[in-house]
Formats: sequence, C-alpha cells, structure tokens
Amino acid sequence: MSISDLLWVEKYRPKTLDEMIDREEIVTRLKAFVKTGNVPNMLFVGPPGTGKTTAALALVNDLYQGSTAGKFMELNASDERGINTIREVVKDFARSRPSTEVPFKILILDESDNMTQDAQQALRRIMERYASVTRFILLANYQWGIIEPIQSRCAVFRFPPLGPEYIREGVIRVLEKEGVSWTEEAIEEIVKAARGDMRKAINIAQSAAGGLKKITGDSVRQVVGVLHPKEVEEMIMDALKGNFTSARKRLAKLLYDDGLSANDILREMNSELMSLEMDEKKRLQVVNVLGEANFRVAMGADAEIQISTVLAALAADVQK
Amino acid sequence: MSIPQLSWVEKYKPKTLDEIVGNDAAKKDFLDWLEKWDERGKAALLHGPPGVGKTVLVEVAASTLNYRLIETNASETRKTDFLENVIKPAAFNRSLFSSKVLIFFDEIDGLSSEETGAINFLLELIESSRVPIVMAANDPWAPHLHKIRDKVYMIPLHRIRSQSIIKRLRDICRAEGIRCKQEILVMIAERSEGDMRAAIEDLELLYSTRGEVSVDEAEKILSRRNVERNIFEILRMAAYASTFERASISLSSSEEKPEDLLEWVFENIPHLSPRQWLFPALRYVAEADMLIRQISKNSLWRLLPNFYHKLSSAFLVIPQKNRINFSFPNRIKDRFKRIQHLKNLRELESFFMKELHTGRRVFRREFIQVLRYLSRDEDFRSRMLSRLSDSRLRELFNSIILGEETHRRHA
Repeated sequence: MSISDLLWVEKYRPKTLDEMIDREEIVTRLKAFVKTGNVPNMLFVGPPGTGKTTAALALVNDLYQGSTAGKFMELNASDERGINTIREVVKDFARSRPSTEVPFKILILDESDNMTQDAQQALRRIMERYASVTRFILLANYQWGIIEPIQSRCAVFRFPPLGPEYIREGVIRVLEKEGVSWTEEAIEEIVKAARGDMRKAINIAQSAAGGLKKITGDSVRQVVGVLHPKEVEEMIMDALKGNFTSARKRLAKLLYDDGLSANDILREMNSELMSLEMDEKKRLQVVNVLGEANFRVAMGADAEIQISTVLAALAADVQK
Repeated sequence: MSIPQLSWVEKYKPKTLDEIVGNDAAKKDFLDWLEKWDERGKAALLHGPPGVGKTVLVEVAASTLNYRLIETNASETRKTDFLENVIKPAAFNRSLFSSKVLIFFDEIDGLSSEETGAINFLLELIESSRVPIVMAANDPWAPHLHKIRDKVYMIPLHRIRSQSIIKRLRDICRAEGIRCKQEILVMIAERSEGDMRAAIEDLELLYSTRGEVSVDEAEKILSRRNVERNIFEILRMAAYASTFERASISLSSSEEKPEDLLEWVFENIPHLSPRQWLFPALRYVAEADMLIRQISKNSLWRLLPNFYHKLSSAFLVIPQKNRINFSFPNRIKDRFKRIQHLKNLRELESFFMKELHTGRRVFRREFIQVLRYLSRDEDFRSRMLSRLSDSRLRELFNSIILGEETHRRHA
C-alpha cells in the first residue's frame, strides 16, 4: 500500500499544471507543449522545494490525460548503478514503443547535477540515440552542474524560490483541507523558516500539527529547531573554540549516521564561513583549505580526512 | 574521536615493588644502587626487551624512596632547550626542589648516531649531576651508545616467565570479573614472549568488549594482533624519528596496506600533536590521502614513495610531541558497521524516494527528520508501519527512523 497520503507534501502535491502556485510563466510554456503534444528534452533548474518534480509529474499527467502508467519513469541520478540503469531503462522504453497519440515516453532524472562528467557524456549519447522514443526531463539544483552539450539540447526552465505570499497561500490551502487551525504567528514562522521552499513549509506545518488540529507559533518554532538542526554550524563553532575532538565527532555523525555527502557538508560549511565573525586572515586561510578539500574529495579523496583538515584549520591559530 | 579511556596496562600498572612481577634480581640491584647513590656515583642503565618493566621499576622505586621523578623520552631528550631549561636546573640546583629528584631518560636507544649533541649532554650529565640519573633502553648495544655504556651501572632485565604472566593475567581477570579459560591465558602468555605489556594488551583486546571468547576466536583475533604490534612499533619509530629519512624508511617498511597505514596516522595524530601543530600535520595527511587514492586508481605505484614522504612530513612537522600509546583506528574498526548502516539507509530510502518522488539528498537532509518527528505521534507511527507491507522495510524503518529516535530520547 502506498504511503503517499500519510505525508502532506505528497498528499497535496499539485496533480495538474493548473494547480501549481507561483509558476505561471513555466506553466504557460509547459501547457503549450501539452497542447501541441510535442515535448522537447528539458532541464529544470532551481533550489529544493520550488516545484521541479511537481511540474514534471503534472506535465506527464496532463500529457497522458491521467493514464500515466508505463509512460514515464523516474530515476535518481545519484543511484550507484548510474548510467547503466538509465541506458537499460531507455532501451526497454524503446522496445515497447507507446501506442498512444503521444509517440514517446518521458524519463524524469532527479539530481542530475550529481552525475559525473563521464556519466553525463554517456547520457548525452543516449539522449541522441533514442531521441525519437524518449524525452528527458533533467532536474538539477545548479545549472553549471550540467555539461554544456546537454544544456544546449534542452529547453531550460528556471525555478526560483517561491515568494512569501505564495508559500503562505500553499500552506493555508493544505491546513484548510486537513481541518487544522492556525495562528497568524504560526504561518509567519513557517514562511520565515521555509525561505521559499514549499516542501519545507508543508513538512514543518505537518510536523507542528503532529496529529493535533492546531498549530501555533510555539509548536512551529519547536519543530524548526528539530527538523533543521544547526549541526554544521555547531561543528564549526566547536572547531573554532579549539574543541577539535568534539568537532570531529559531529563530523563523523554527519557523514556516517546521517549519510550526508562531503559535498553538501562542505557547501554548508562554506556558506557558514562567509557569515561568521572571524579574523579575515583566518577566514582566507580556512576558505582556501576548504576549497582544496572540496576538490580532493571530488577526485576521490577521503571525506573525513579532508574535512577534518578544514576543522583543524579552524582550530589553528592564524599563520602570520 | 573519543578520548581513550584508561587502558588495562595503565589501570593495572604496579604501584608497589611487590606488585612488579619477575626480575627480582634487577629490582634488588636497582634499589640498592639508588639507596646507596652519592654524588660521585655513576648513572644506571636498565636494559632489556620491551614490556618487562623497566619504566615501571623506575617509577615505583622513585615513589617508594620519595624521589620526585623527572621523566623524559627520546624525543624530548633531543631538544636542546628542554635539556637546558628543565634537566640542567634539576640536575644542578637542588634547592629549586623541596624533595629529592631522580632524572629518568627513557628509550635512549631512540637517539640516533647523528644526535651527538644529546649524547654529549648525557655524558656530561652523568659525570657531574648532583642527583641520580637513570636511563632505559631496549638495545643498549648500539655502537653510538658505547661511551654511555662505559660510564653507567648496567642492570639487565629479562623476559618474564610465562607462569608469572599467567598469574598476573588471572589477577586482572578476577578484578575485571572475567571468566577466562586457562588455555587462552596460556596462549596469550606464550605469544607475548615474556612481554607483560603485550600480554595485558592482548587480554584487553580479547575481553574488554566481550564476555567470553572461544579458543578459536582468540587465536584468530590474536594472530591479527601480531601484525598490529608490528605497526605500533613502526609508528612509534616514525613518530619519534629525528630525521625525515628515518621516519620515511620506518613507514615504508610497514607491511600494512598504504590505505590502512594512512588510517593509523590519521587517527593517532590528533593525540600525538598539541593543538598548534595539528593543522600543519593533518594537512600533510590530507595530501597523503589524495595521493594514495590517485595512486591506486591510476596504478601509479612508482609514486608510492611520495606517499610515505607525506606521512613522514606529518610526523616531522610536529616539533613537540605528546607521548601516546598508539591506538587502533576506529574507522577500521567501524568500517563494517558503517557500510552496513549505509546499505540499510539506501534500501530504506529507495522505497521512500519512489513514494515521495524525491532525491537522495532531500530524503537524508529533510525527510528522515520529518519522519522521526511525525513518528512521535502514535497514530502516525502505527499507520506508517501498517503501510509498510514488507517485513524487511518495517525492520529498516524501526532501526533507522524509530531506533534512532529512542536512542536520542535517552541521550
């Protein structure tokens, strides 16, 4: 049995393009494709929770008028089987050519900016070879994570963070359907914490309700603290205070318990570093070490060893 | 990395002369020498294989006869400012200290023949010190130590008899509440070759985390231990080496896989290094890490010497080293557990990723926390579990989502 109605984000995910909030321009263009029945390869770029997956699924739904079974497929690019899975799936697709008026199937590829350059080159060849029977919708956080030859074969759609008023609208819509009452303060807190990420907003709302029929500013604040712990920030603060051992423990938890990628941790560290108050010379030194670490991890070095070195740089006195 | 708790070797270190097992002649000899010491007396050199009690004998004798002990290892002995500022005043200016002072140079065979400065200092000190000087060495017969040999009172210590080791191990078992098979005690004692420290380390390795061990298991664990002892020695030599070349030769003589050697250095360096040297040292470790991944990925084995050079640099860049007992890397210990956890996580998330149309990153960063939070609600939890039709999925959900939650609540 599906669990999709247990989580509000899934239960109330817009099913059609028309239901989407604050994406008018994108929706207009996508609906034109539906109307002509001609869908190009596409690249959806934007931060989390801005409607990339929703738009892709809604497009598929509108295109096949609700009967989508067997006509599309979702894959995650960070899957370890990677490009081979994609190749097999596409081959299978090609063999069972759809018999509807729409003569192709759609493959939605999430986190495609996580693919290596080599895998992306292979993907490009697959896209060309099977162009007649398959259309790709690539989802990515960063456009520059996608190689140029793929970008130039795709219609690019940008998904910026949603405006506060739209987050508000989306959350209230869900709360009303669930029969949950709210205070003005609760909504404000959600909008503030979500920063334009609709999924986050709705996840916070559901967690704050926690099975009850009411959310308040307090229940929201409590949830925000738990759902988005400042682990990376705390790790940095430990290291800065010279408590290297404790910082290392936090790092091990992030890497091995939570399973975060080195890339994500380093990215968060980087943005923390920019806003922290510290000696500029030190900031320069640490940022340099961080850049080195990031590069090396990408080249196959060990995440814990490399990030530990950044922590040691934070713990060290400035080199004059 | 956790701060290591007291090892059994430390915990059961003899506190009185009677508790020191074996080497009765040496004990008596040393005590007599120390009691009868006067300013014209020579220095003493305790020599013998590792783990027979040289250091302990000096420490216990000092406290028994009310000496204040100034203890130094080889890496400190080669530092001129340490010798001038700490040792010299202690040796010549007794009024500085209220009590009697005993100066102890441990591991003097760690000094190399090039370190003539330190050796000359010792020779001079032996001639003119106004307090007793004691030295210890595994191998006093190195040519460059011959001048020292000529000037000191040599006291040999010998390997400890198996029977004595077994008896001591049994005492420790009793104190720790362990039921240990006689066969295993015999096995440990014999493998130790008269090295009490190694025997106690082996006992701890076998029993500190398990209640009982079969003879077969013990055999398996201890045979791995042999390799480890080898690596402890190699690391110690590299860490306290005085020259780049010595450190490098020592490390490259290891039979350990380069990647594993890296683990050892990476895990131990933070304990070895005072804070201000940690960053430069780890920086070399990070370079070694990068290098070895590239070497093994591209089969660039001719570059391997560079890897050992980087690791040696990591040790050498630390001018003042803490004295540590090297410990087995947690990462190797936990490797299996971590891989297993990651596999479980993958399995669970591949289900949720499909159900929630979401990427791996978003699942790990957001949905795990959301699911944990929502599962505090009994109703949500039971509805979720009833939807997970597969028993394997339920098991994973329980351990990763709910297990973690109860764990946190307890913490």
